[in-house]
Amino acid sequence: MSRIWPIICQFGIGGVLCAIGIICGLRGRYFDMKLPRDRRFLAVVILGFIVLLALAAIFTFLAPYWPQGATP
Amino acid sequence: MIAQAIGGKLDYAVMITYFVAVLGFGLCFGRYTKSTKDFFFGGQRFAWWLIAFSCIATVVGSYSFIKYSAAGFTYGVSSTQTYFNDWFWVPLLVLVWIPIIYYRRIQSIPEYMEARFDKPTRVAATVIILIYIVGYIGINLITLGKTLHTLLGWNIMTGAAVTAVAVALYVYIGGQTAIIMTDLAQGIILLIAGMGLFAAGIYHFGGFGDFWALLPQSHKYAFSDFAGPPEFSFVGIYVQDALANTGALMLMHQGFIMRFLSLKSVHDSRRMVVAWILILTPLAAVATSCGGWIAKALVNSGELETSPGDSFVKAANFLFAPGIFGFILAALTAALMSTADSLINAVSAVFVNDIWKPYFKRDADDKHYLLVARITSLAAAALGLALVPIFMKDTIYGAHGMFTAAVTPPVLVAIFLGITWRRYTPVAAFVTIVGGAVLVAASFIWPDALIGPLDFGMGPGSHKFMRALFGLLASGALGVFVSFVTKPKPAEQIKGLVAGTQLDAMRQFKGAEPNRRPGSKAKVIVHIDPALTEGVAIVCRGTLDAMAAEPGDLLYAAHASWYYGGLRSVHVKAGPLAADPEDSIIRMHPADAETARFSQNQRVVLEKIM
Repeated sequence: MSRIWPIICQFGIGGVLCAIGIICGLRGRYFDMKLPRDRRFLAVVILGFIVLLALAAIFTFLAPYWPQGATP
Repeated sequence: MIAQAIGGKLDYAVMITYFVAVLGFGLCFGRYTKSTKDFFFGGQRFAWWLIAFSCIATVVGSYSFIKYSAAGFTYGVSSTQTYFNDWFWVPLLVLVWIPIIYYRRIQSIPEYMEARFDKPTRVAATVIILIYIVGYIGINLITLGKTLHTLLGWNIMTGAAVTAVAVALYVYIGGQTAIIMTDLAQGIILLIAGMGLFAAGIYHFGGFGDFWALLPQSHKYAFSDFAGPPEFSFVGIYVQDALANTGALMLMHQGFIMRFLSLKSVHDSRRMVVAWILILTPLAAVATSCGGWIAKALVNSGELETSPGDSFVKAANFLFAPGIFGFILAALTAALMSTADSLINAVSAVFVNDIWKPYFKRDADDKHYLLVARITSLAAAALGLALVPIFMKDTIYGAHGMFTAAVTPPVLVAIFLGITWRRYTPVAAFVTIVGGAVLVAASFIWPDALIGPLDFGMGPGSHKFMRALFGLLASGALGVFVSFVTKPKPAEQIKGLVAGTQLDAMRQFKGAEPNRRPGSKAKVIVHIDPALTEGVAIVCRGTLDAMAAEPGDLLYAAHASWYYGGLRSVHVKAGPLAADPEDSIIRMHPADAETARFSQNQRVVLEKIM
């Protein structure tokens, strides 16, 4: 668990921070889901979150156990 | 550190060539600086990719290669964890903070404090930020002085002085434009150097799998253990770096504020952060840490002996031939210069905007303020240099570290609550900053009582990190409590300064209703017309339609070659429709053409800003 708590903490609190930013953008409609470029940006934020989560997962659950000496 | 200088004559030559090239590169952009807007914000004309590269060069400090390689040698891949926690601040930065400061034409953090809160909060912020930045200039210079002393045998003061003079000179002449352009070069150099070392290491071992096999399993995790060891626990690094330091970098670092304001538009900040944080930062993480990983693998294969602190330099020296090693040393220097230049320019901006203008000469012309800004940048470098011998005494160096730890969380919390919560009051902001700093200072006197309950059982060894958590919680609690017992500013007075009012800020910036309809860019040819009003350009209906623009909208014209990155560009307002039917012409005043360095019949790309 000592290796899993960091993922929960980083992406849990990180998710809350992201949500605060997005909600603050949506309030007052500066960040407007009717605009294609704003929808695109939301997709990029979510994609970035997922990419980082995937990297963290790979280097927690897979990479430490890759076969010794073999190119993965 | 290594006792004997290990650089050879060829390395010296590469280093000196690098110094001269960077200095010349920076100086040649002096001609672009004609006003304080140019000096502090590069004329607000730059493309996202230029700012992304310059940001990464500023983030990677002089000690990053040594520090992160040492962590990489001792703890492995988890040495990169501090680089992978920036993304979570992006929505707040891009959707709230940058629109507020850009559209409200805020030039410094203290200026925001007065606009959002009151004068006493501005004064408190000015004092804190100036001590914070000037101290950091000194720390950067002493760090490089020590590094050059170790690597090349130079006297510490000589190394610091040479660097300070070089940086101060190009900041004095070229301002923000010189900083951005040199940081572009330096960012590329330090990424090439670091990634080159990684590639050389992989090649040396015969492939990634063989390199990976030489690392112990404990070195292969993304994060360190949650609550241990005290000096490298995940939770300690998380609260100190991901929450306090990254938040401070995004919201209260004057150098970065000025960099964000150098963008040609707020919309470009989106691409900028994606390139900076999602692409360049992971590369920088590998570039700065890989020296330690490679050194660890070399030690495990019996080819090298080193300590963690020497791992970067020893791995580079082992893998690279003379000359190339000099290039690596140049990258270390690049990392310092690209951090110090931003800090020097930041001191200049705070001094001019928050001290000189309000207290010494209120209504002087811009040329006067430009001169003061330039002199201040020299003075800031000199002051930073003067701190070098003082910081050599550990007590003073430690005192600045304590000061930074004490003031960062309170100022960060004040900005965070200020932009996200309308109910947050001026009195609460002042109490957050001053009271929060006092409470954090008290944690140095009674660490066990104040930080102990928050240290996850790791003990005094973790207090250096966990103090950030105490500071954030204490400042936040103070701010929220005082807000509920004091009176907030009327909503009318904080329009454009708090989340939910960004559109008001846009209206203030444009002076009219913003046009946010999606449009495309148009390629046009410049016709210079002295009969026009400065700042107003005439284009035909077809061009406006392509951009989904209307007369009165803000437009941005840039040289058709992308690699200028906005260096040759200008913002204009769309004037009345052109009488002639020619689609591909933009008529502009000679002064606007001169600002952008456009000639008659110049091909440019035109886009609508709002």
